[in-house]
Amino acid sequence: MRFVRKLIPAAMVASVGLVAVDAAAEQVFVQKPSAVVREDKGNLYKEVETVPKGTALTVLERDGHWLRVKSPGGGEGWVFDGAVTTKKTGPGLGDVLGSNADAGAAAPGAAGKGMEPESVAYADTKHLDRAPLERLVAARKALDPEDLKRFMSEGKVGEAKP
Amino acid sequence: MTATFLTLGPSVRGNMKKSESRTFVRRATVARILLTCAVAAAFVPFNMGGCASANDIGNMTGSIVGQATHDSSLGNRTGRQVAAGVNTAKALSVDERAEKAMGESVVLAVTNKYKLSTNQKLSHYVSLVGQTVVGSSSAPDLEWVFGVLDTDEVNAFAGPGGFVLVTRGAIARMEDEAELAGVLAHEVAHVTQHHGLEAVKNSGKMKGLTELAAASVDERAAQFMPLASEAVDTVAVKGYDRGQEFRADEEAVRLLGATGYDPNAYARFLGKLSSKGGLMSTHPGAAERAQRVASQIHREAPTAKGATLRERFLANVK
Repeated sequence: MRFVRKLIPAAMVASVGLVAVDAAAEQVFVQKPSAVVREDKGNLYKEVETVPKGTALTVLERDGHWLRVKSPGGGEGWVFDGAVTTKKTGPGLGDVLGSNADAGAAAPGAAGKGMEPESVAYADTKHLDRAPLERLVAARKALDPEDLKRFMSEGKVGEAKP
Repeated sequence: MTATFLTLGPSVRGNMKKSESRTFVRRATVARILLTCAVAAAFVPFNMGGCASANDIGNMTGSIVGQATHDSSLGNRTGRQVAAGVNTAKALSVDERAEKAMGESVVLAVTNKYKLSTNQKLSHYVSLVGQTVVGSSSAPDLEWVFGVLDTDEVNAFAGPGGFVLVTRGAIARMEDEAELAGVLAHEVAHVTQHHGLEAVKNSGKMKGLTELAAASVDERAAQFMPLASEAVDTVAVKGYDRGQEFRADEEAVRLLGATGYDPNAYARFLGKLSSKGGLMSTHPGAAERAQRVASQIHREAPTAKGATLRERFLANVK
């Protein structure tokens, strides 16, 4: 019991120390309405999490313009440095809601396709076929980031530029 | 103490001295504001899925405040204030959403006019070259979409928010991958420099956009219509202004250098257009642009070489 009594303050001191170390880690804040954290450095990689403006991200690593970060929710991945800032930003209540508000009320048929409700309405008003845009978006989602890496490597362009 | 002040009803406040009453009102107002902020902030994480409208949040907040203070009129006033605040904040994010919606509208219009190419190999190749270029841009994290239009016309289009289309006719005029990369880089620059949004703003049609935040989905769609039409008109008919074209060319040269392609290829392609005349109707002044690009390369990277990748280009486009 005496041992436990001594252990508790030691544990408290240790946890304060851990908090202090974590607090010293670099933090950046999302400055765009939202930022997408991805599995790797590039827009073709799978999305890990989308975080709203003002979210504090802990920087784990830097590679050029890409930052490997940890979100408050525990998600880890890469974010482009243009989407964040070292200055603390406001939570952006309207930015969170403005980017997704009324998603539930989006025009029928648009759900799951990712189109903005306004452009769905534009297509319907102008009697435009939405299928070509949907095919383009689907083709983009089917692009394999490893395929792109091979392409750049074979041509010695992009990230494989000498 | 805050809760006590908030819960005292009008009859109790009526028995106070005037000075005490003024103090009470002031403290109650401060407490009300703090409580409202706390309640509204509490809703932020629950609304990250983004299903609540400003009015929903205002109503919820007002209901809570009204119940806590036993004053329904206070709750109603607070709810209206919160809703108004949310709407104002929403307006701040309008540009990014508006750009994506404009870009989608441009693609809808253009792909209905010209039809998408069904050549999967060519389309895939163009996407890979485009994705290579955007890796060196200022917005590699956008969800870039590249496509090929099935028409003999020589042209390329940039939709705000990350949409780039190039025609089969333009590709037929190219000699190598570096020329293709140059044209795509030019369109990518239009996107990263927000030229489409700039053009719509300059048209004066964005003035009503801040009011969209308070509108319903149907009202927003109706108000967005002229903006979409302006974006389509700019990109697909009138073209960007001279200044925007020159700035996109400058950025294209830098992107080519940063990506490892030969920037001289872009000057060569513009030179071909200027000698043909009447091509790329939405990109006028090819001769002047070719000269400016050549001067820029001479000034910034006189010994630039870079990859042209002619063999890979021919293997994918023929």
